[in-house]
Amino acid sequence: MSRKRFRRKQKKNVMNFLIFYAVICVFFIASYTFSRYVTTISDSTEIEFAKFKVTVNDINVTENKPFELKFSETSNFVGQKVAPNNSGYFEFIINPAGTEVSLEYDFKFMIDEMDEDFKLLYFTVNDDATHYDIIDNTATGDLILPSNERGFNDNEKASIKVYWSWDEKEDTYNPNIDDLKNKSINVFAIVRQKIK
Amino acid sequence: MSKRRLILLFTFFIIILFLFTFNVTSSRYIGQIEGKVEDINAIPILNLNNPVLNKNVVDMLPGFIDESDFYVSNYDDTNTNEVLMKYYIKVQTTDTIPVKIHLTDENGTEMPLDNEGKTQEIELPYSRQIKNKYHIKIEWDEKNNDYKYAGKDLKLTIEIVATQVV
Repeated sequence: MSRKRFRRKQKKNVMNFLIFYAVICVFFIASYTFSRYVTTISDSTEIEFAKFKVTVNDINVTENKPFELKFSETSNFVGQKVAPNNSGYFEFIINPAGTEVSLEYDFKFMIDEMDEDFKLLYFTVNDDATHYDIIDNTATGDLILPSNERGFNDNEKASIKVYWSWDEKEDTYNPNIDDLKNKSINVFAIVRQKIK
Repeated sequence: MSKRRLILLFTFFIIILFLFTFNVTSSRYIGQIEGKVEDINAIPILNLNNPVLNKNVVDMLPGFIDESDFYVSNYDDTNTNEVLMKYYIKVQTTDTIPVKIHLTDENGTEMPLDNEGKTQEIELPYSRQIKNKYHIKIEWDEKNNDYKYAGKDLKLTIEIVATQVV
Protein backbone atom coordinates (compact mmCIF):
# COMPACT_ATOMS: atom_id res chain seq x y z
CA MET A 1 0.00 0.00 0.00
CA SER A 2 1.39 3.34 -0.97
CA ARG A 3 1.89 6.02 1.67
CA LYS A 4 -0.70 8.27 0.00
CA ARG A 5 -3.32 5.58 0.06
CA PHE A 6 -2.56 4.78 3.66
CA ARG A 7 -3.14 8.42 4.70
CA ARG A 8 -6.38 8.60 2.77
CA LYS A 9 -7.62 5.51 4.59
CA GLN A 10 -6.56 6.96 7.92
CA LYS A 11 -8.47 10.20 7.19
CA LYS A 12 -11.50 8.16 6.24
CA ASN A 13 -11.30 6.33 9.56
CA VAL A 14 -11.15 9.58 11.50
CA MET A 15 -14.11 10.99 9.62
CA ASN A 16 -16.11 7.86 10.35
CA PHE A 17 -15.19 8.15 14.01
CA LEU A 18 -16.31 11.79 14.15
CA ILE A 19 -19.58 11.09 12.42
CA PHE A 20 -20.22 8.24 14.81
CA TYR A 21 -19.66 10.55 17.80
CA ALA A 22 -21.81 13.29 16.33
CA VAL A 23 -24.65 10.79 15.98
CA ILE A 24 -24.18 9.68 19.57
CA CYS A 25 -24.28 13.33 20.68
CA VAL A 26 -27.51 13.92 18.82
CA PHE A 27 -29.03 10.88 20.50
CA PHE A 28 -28.03 12.16 23.91
CA ILE A 29 -29.21 15.70 23.36
CA ALA A 30 -32.39 15.07 21.46
CA SER A 31 -33.22 11.77 23.12
CA TYR A 32 -34.31 10.12 19.87
CA THR A 33 -35.08 6.47 19.83
CA PHE A 34 -35.74 3.99 17.07
CA SER A 35 -37.25 1.29 19.18
CA ARG A 36 -40.66 0.13 18.16
CA TYR A 37 -42.25 -0.18 21.55
CA VAL A 38 -43.07 3.22 22.93
CA THR A 39 -43.54 3.83 26.60
CA THR A 40 -43.85 7.26 28.01
CA ILE A 41 -43.33 8.12 31.58
CA SER A 42 -43.31 11.64 32.84
CA ASP A 43 -42.54 13.35 36.06
CA SER A 44 -41.98 16.93 37.06
CA THR A 45 -39.41 18.38 39.35
CA GLU A 46 -39.52 21.89 40.71
CA ILE A 47 -36.14 23.43 40.42
CA GLU A 48 -35.71 26.21 42.93
CA PHE A 49 -33.11 28.80 42.07
CA ALA A 50 -31.04 30.33 44.83
CA LYS A 51 -32.36 33.76 45.78
CA PHE A 52 -30.40 36.89 44.99
CA LYS A 53 -31.76 40.05 46.51
CA VAL A 54 -29.16 42.57 47.54
CA THR A 55 -29.56 46.25 48.30
CA VAL A 56 -26.89 48.91 48.53
CA ASN A 57 -28.01 51.92 50.54
CA ASP A 58 -31.58 50.63 50.23
CA ILE A 59 -31.53 50.32 46.42
CA ASN A 60 -31.85 46.86 44.89
CA VAL A 61 -28.74 46.23 42.79
CA THR A 62 -30.77 44.64 40.01
CA GLU A 63 -32.92 47.73 39.59
CA ASN A 64 -31.79 50.48 37.34
CA LYS A 65 -31.98 53.17 39.99
CA PRO A 66 -29.28 55.45 41.35
CA PHE A 67 -28.35 55.14 44.99
CA GLU A 68 -27.37 57.90 47.36
CA LEU A 69 -23.96 58.12 48.95
CA LYS A 70 -23.94 58.40 52.73
CA PHE A 71 -21.33 60.81 54.05
CA SER A 72 -19.72 60.97 57.45
CA GLU A 73 -20.92 63.79 59.66
CA THR A 74 -19.05 67.04 59.40
CA SER A 75 -18.54 69.84 61.85
CA ASN A 76 -16.88 72.54 59.83
CA PHE A 77 -18.43 72.32 56.40
CA VAL A 78 -21.80 71.57 54.93
CA GLY A 79 -22.96 67.93 54.84
CA GLN A 80 -22.85 65.64 51.76
CA LYS A 81 -19.73 67.47 50.56
CA VAL A 82 -15.97 67.29 50.86
CA ALA A 83 -13.61 70.13 51.72
CA PRO A 84 -9.85 70.66 51.62
CA ASN A 85 -7.80 69.87 54.71
CA ASN A 86 -10.47 67.51 55.94
CA SER A 87 -11.14 63.80 55.94
CA GLY A 88 -14.18 61.57 56.25
CA TYR A 89 -15.79 58.53 54.75
CA PHE A 90 -18.51 57.35 52.40
CA GLU A 91 -20.66 54.56 53.78
CA PHE A 92 -22.33 51.75 51.87
CA ILE A 93 -24.78 49.45 53.58
CA ILE A 94 -25.03 46.13 51.78
CA ASN A 95 -28.14 44.23 52.80
CA PRO A 96 -28.11 40.66 51.43
CA ALA A 97 -31.05 39.43 53.59
CA GLY A 98 -32.62 36.38 51.96
CA THR A 99 -29.81 35.90 49.43
CA GLU A 100 -28.76 32.28 49.23
CA VAL A 101 -25.33 32.64 47.63
CA SER A 102 -22.05 34.14 48.76
CA LEU A 103 -21.29 37.55 47.31
CA GLU A 104 -18.46 39.66 45.99
CA TYR A 105 -18.67 43.42 45.76
CA ASP A 106 -16.78 46.24 44.07
CA PHE A 107 -17.26 49.91 44.80
CA LYS A 108 -15.55 51.69 41.97
CA PHE A 109 -15.01 55.42 42.38
CA MET A 110 -14.60 57.82 39.49
CA ILE A 111 -12.74 60.78 41.00
CA ASP A 112 -11.06 62.21 37.92
CA GLU A 113 -12.68 65.60 38.41
CA MET A 114 -11.44 66.00 41.95
CA ASP A 115 -8.42 67.95 43.17
CA GLU A 116 -5.22 65.93 42.85
CA ASP A 117 -4.76 65.95 46.63
CA PHE A 118 -8.12 64.28 47.19
CA LYS A 119 -7.37 60.61 47.95
CA LEU A 120 -9.24 57.47 48.86
CA LEU A 121 -7.25 55.89 51.69
CA TYR A 122 -8.68 52.52 52.71
CA PHE A 123 -11.96 50.88 53.66
CA THR A 124 -13.31 49.07 56.69
CA VAL A 125 -16.03 46.46 57.08
CA ASN A 126 -18.48 46.79 59.98
CA ASP A 127 -16.12 49.21 61.74
CA ASP A 128 -13.54 46.47 62.18
CA ALA A 129 -10.02 47.69 62.93
CA THR A 130 -8.66 46.10 59.75
CA HIS A 131 -7.91 48.56 56.98
CA TYR A 132 -8.39 47.09 53.52
CA ASP A 133 -6.55 48.49 50.53
CA ILE A 134 -8.28 50.40 47.79
CA ILE A 135 -6.79 49.44 44.46
CA ASP A 136 -7.43 51.56 41.36
CA ASN A 137 -9.99 53.55 43.33
CA THR A 138 -11.97 50.35 43.86
CA ALA A 139 -12.91 48.75 47.18
CA THR A 140 -13.30 45.01 46.68
CA GLY A 141 -14.48 42.43 49.18
CA ASP A 142 -16.85 39.55 49.77
CA LEU A 143 -19.66 38.37 51.99
CA ILE A 144 -19.49 34.65 52.57
CA LEU A 145 -22.71 32.82 53.31
CA PRO A 146 -22.10 30.72 56.44
CA SER A 147 -22.12 27.04 55.56
CA ASN A 148 -24.77 26.28 58.17
CA GLU A 149 -27.19 28.89 56.84
CA ARG A 150 -29.51 28.64 53.87
CA GLY A 151 -29.51 32.38 53.31
CA PHE A 152 -28.27 35.63 54.81
CA ASN A 153 -30.27 36.97 57.76
CA ASP A 154 -31.55 40.47 58.31
CA ASN A 155 -28.80 41.13 60.82
CA GLU A 156 -26.03 40.23 58.39
CA LYS A 157 -25.83 43.64 56.74
CA ALA A 158 -22.36 44.90 55.95
CA SER A 159 -21.29 48.46 56.53
CA ILE A 160 -18.49 49.37 54.15
CA LYS A 161 -16.79 52.68 54.96
CA VAL A 162 -14.47 54.12 52.34
CA TYR A 163 -12.23 56.73 53.93
CA TRP A 164 -11.09 59.82 52.05
CA SER A 165 -8.66 62.57 52.80
CA TRP A 166 -7.99 65.91 51.14
CA ASP A 167 -4.69 67.23 52.43
CA GLU A 168 -3.67 70.34 50.61
CA LYS A 169 0.08 70.49 50.31
CA GLU A 170 0.08 74.21 49.80
CA ASP A 171 0.32 76.27 52.98
CA THR A 172 -2.03 78.85 51.59
CA TYR A 173 -4.58 77.15 49.44
CA ASN A 174 -6.44 79.83 47.60
CA PRO A 175 -8.46 78.09 44.93
CA ASN A 176 -10.42 79.68 42.17
CA ILE A 177 -14.03 79.17 43.26
CA ASP A 178 -15.09 78.35 39.71
CA ASP A 179 -12.57 75.50 39.69
CA LEU A 180 -14.26 73.96 42.71
CA LYS A 181 -17.76 74.19 41.32
CA ASN A 182 -19.58 71.51 39.31
CA LYS A 183 -17.28 68.69 40.35
CA SER A 184 -18.78 65.28 40.91
CA ILE A 185 -17.94 61.80 42.09
CA ASN A 186 -19.48 58.71 40.52
CA VAL A 187 -19.55 55.37 42.27
CA PHE A 188 -20.42 52.07 40.65
CA ALA A 189 -21.58 49.41 43.10
CA ILE A 190 -21.24 45.96 41.59
CA VAL A 191 -22.47 42.95 43.58
CA ARG A 192 -22.19 39.47 42.13
CA GLN A 193 -22.39 35.87 43.17
CA LYS A 194 -19.08 34.58 44.48
CA ILE A 195 -18.01 31.47 42.69
CA LYS A 196 -15.69 29.29 44.71
CA MET B 1 -3.32 12.10 11.79
CA SER B 2 -1.23 11.09 14.76
CA LYS B 3 -2.54 9.11 17.70
CA ARG B 4 -2.02 12.11 19.98
CA ARG B 5 -4.22 14.33 17.85
CA LEU B 6 -6.85 11.68 17.79
CA ILE B 7 -6.91 11.58 21.60
CA LEU B 8 -7.20 15.37 21.76
CA LEU B 9 -10.08 15.33 19.31
CA PHE B 10 -11.78 12.59 21.30
CA THR B 11 -11.38 14.55 24.57
CA PHE B 12 -12.78 17.65 22.90
CA PHE B 13 -15.86 15.77 21.81
CA ILE B 14 -16.36 14.29 25.24
CA ILE B 15 -16.21 17.80 26.80
CA ILE B 16 -18.75 19.16 24.31
CA LEU B 17 -21.01 16.24 25.06
CA PHE B 18 -20.65 16.82 28.79
CA LEU B 19 -21.45 20.54 28.51
CA PHE B 20 -24.55 19.90 26.43
CA THR B 21 -25.78 17.04 28.57
CA PHE B 22 -25.39 18.67 31.95
CA ASN B 23 -26.13 22.24 30.90
CA VAL B 24 -22.94 23.54 32.41
CA THR B 25 -22.96 27.31 32.42
CA SER B 26 -20.61 29.99 33.71
CA SER B 27 -23.30 32.63 34.27
CA ARG B 28 -23.89 33.97 37.76
CA TYR B 29 -25.97 36.52 39.59
CA ILE B 30 -24.77 40.06 39.18
CA GLY B 31 -26.19 43.50 39.82
CA GLN B 32 -24.76 46.96 39.26
CA ILE B 33 -26.05 50.34 40.29
CA GLU B 34 -24.57 53.80 40.19
CA GLY B 35 -24.42 56.61 42.68
CA LYS B 36 -23.44 60.15 41.82
CA VAL B 37 -22.81 63.23 43.90
CA GLU B 38 -22.96 66.46 41.98
CA ASP B 39 -21.21 69.61 43.22
CA ILE B 40 -19.31 67.61 45.79
CA ASN B 41 -16.84 70.32 46.79
CA ALA B 42 -17.86 72.56 49.65
CA ILE B 43 -17.54 76.12 48.34
CA PRO B 44 -16.23 79.02 50.45
CA ILE B 45 -18.08 82.27 49.87
CA LEU B 46 -16.91 85.57 51.28
CA ASN B 47 -18.47 88.68 49.93
CA LEU B 48 -17.49 92.27 50.60
CA ASN B 49 -20.04 94.88 49.79
CA ASN B 50 -17.87 97.87 50.21
CA PRO B 51 -18.00 101.37 48.85
CA VAL B 52 -14.75 102.29 50.64
CA LEU B 53 -12.56 99.36 49.70
CA ASN B 54 -10.03 101.55 47.98
CA LYS B 55 -10.63 105.17 48.65
CA ASN B 56 -8.48 108.18 47.85
CA VAL B 57 -9.30 111.20 49.94
CA VAL B 58 -7.91 114.36 48.47
CA ASP B 59 -7.79 117.94 49.65
CA MET B 60 -8.21 116.98 53.27
CA LEU B 61 -8.02 119.61 55.94
CA PRO B 62 -7.43 119.27 59.67
CA GLY B 63 -10.70 118.39 61.38
CA PHE B 64 -11.76 116.26 58.41
CA ILE B 65 -14.17 113.43 59.23
CA ASP B 66 -15.35 110.75 56.82
CA GLU B 67 -17.75 107.95 57.73
CA SER B 68 -18.84 104.93 55.67
CA ASP B 69 -20.52 101.59 56.09
CA PHE B 70 -19.49 98.31 54.53
CA TYR B 71 -20.81 94.79 54.73
CA VAL B 72 -19.23 91.34 54.93
CA SER B 73 -21.54 88.50 53.95
CA ASN B 74 -21.23 84.76 53.35
CA TYR B 75 -23.37 84.59 50.25
CA ASP B 76 -23.54 85.95 46.76
CA ASP B 77 -26.26 85.98 44.11
CA THR B 78 -26.25 82.21 43.69
CA ASN B 79 -24.40 80.51 46.56
CA THR B 80 -24.15 80.45 50.32
CA ASN B 81 -20.90 79.69 52.07
CA GLU B 82 -20.42 75.96 52.73
CA VAL B 83 -17.22 75.99 54.79
CA LEU B 84 -16.69 77.31 58.31
CA MET B 85 -14.25 80.20 58.11
CA LYS B 86 -12.81 82.95 60.23
CA TYR B 87 -11.96 86.34 58.88
CA TYR B 88 -10.29 89.50 60.01
CA ILE B 89 -10.55 93.02 58.69
CA LYS B 90 -7.37 94.85 57.88
CA VAL B 91 -7.54 98.63 57.56
CA GLN B 92 -4.55 100.40 56.11
CA THR B 93 -3.90 104.04 55.38
CA THR B 94 -0.94 105.79 53.92
CA ASP B 95 0.94 107.61 56.66
CA THR B 96 0.87 110.86 54.78
CA ILE B 97 -1.78 112.31 57.06
CA PRO B 98 -2.20 111.63 60.80
CA VAL B 99 -5.72 110.26 60.87
CA LYS B 100 -7.40 108.10 63.46
CA ILE B 101 -9.45 105.11 62.34
CA HIS B 102 -12.49 103.97 64.28
CA LEU B 103 -14.06 100.68 63.28
CA THR B 104 -17.31 99.59 64.91
CA ASP B 105 -19.65 96.66 64.34
CA GLU B 106 -23.38 96.95 63.82
CA ASN B 107 -23.96 97.16 67.57
CA GLY B 108 -21.68 100.15 67.77
CA THR B 109 -18.97 98.17 69.58
CA GLU B 110 -15.49 99.48 68.88
CA MET B 111 -13.25 96.95 67.12
CA PRO B 112 -9.64 97.54 68.12
CA LEU B 113 -6.98 97.30 65.43
CA ASP B 114 -3.52 95.92 66.16
CA ASN B 115 -0.23 97.39 64.95
CA GLU B 116 -0.84 95.98 61.47
CA GLY B 117 -4.35 97.39 61.37
CA LYS B 118 -6.02 94.00 61.88
CA THR B 119 -9.08 93.17 63.93
CA GLN B 120 -9.50 89.95 65.87
CA GLU B 121 -10.82 86.98 63.92
CA ILE B 122 -14.56 86.76 63.43
CA GLU B 123 -16.38 83.52 62.64
CA LEU B 124 -18.08 83.23 59.26
CA PRO B 125 -20.69 80.45 59.47
CA TYR B 126 -21.88 78.13 56.71
CA SER B 127 -25.31 77.00 55.55
CA ARG B 128 -27.13 80.03 56.91
CA GLN B 129 -26.79 83.45 55.36
CA ILE B 130 -25.36 86.28 57.39
CA LYS B 131 -24.43 89.86 56.58
CA ASN B 132 -22.27 91.77 59.03
CA LYS B 133 -22.38 95.53 58.87
CA TYR B 134 -19.35 97.62 59.84
CA HIS B 135 -18.89 101.32 60.22
CA ILE B 136 -15.58 103.04 59.62
CA LYS B 137 -14.79 106.58 60.67
CA ILE B 138 -11.69 108.49 59.54
CA GLU B 139 -10.88 111.44 61.72
CA TRP B 140 -8.13 114.08 61.47
CA ASP B 141 -7.59 115.89 64.71
CA GLU B 142 -7.87 119.58 63.90
CA LYS B 143 -5.10 120.42 66.39
CA ASN B 144 -2.66 118.33 64.41
CA ASN B 145 -2.38 120.92 61.67
CA ASP B 146 1.29 121.00 60.74
CA TYR B 147 1.83 122.62 57.33
CA LYS B 148 3.87 119.57 56.17
CA TYR B 149 0.58 117.74 55.60
CA ALA B 150 -0.65 120.34 53.18
CA GLY B 151 -1.41 119.04 49.71
CA LYS B 152 -1.08 115.35 50.72
CA ASP B 153 -3.58 112.66 49.82
CA LEU B 154 -4.77 109.81 51.98
CA LYS B 155 -5.33 106.34 50.62
CA LEU B 156 -7.54 103.98 52.62
CA THR B 157 -7.58 100.23 51.97
CA ILE B 158 -9.87 97.71 53.63
CA GLU B 159 -8.99 94.06 53.24
CA ILE B 160 -10.96 91.03 54.42
CA VAL B 161 -8.87 87.90 54.89
CA ALA B 162 -10.75 84.64 55.54
CA THR B 163 -9.23 81.31 56.49
CA GLN B 164 -10.92 77.94 56.57
CA VAL B 165 -11.38 76.48 60.04
CA VAL B 166 -10.06 72.92 60.18
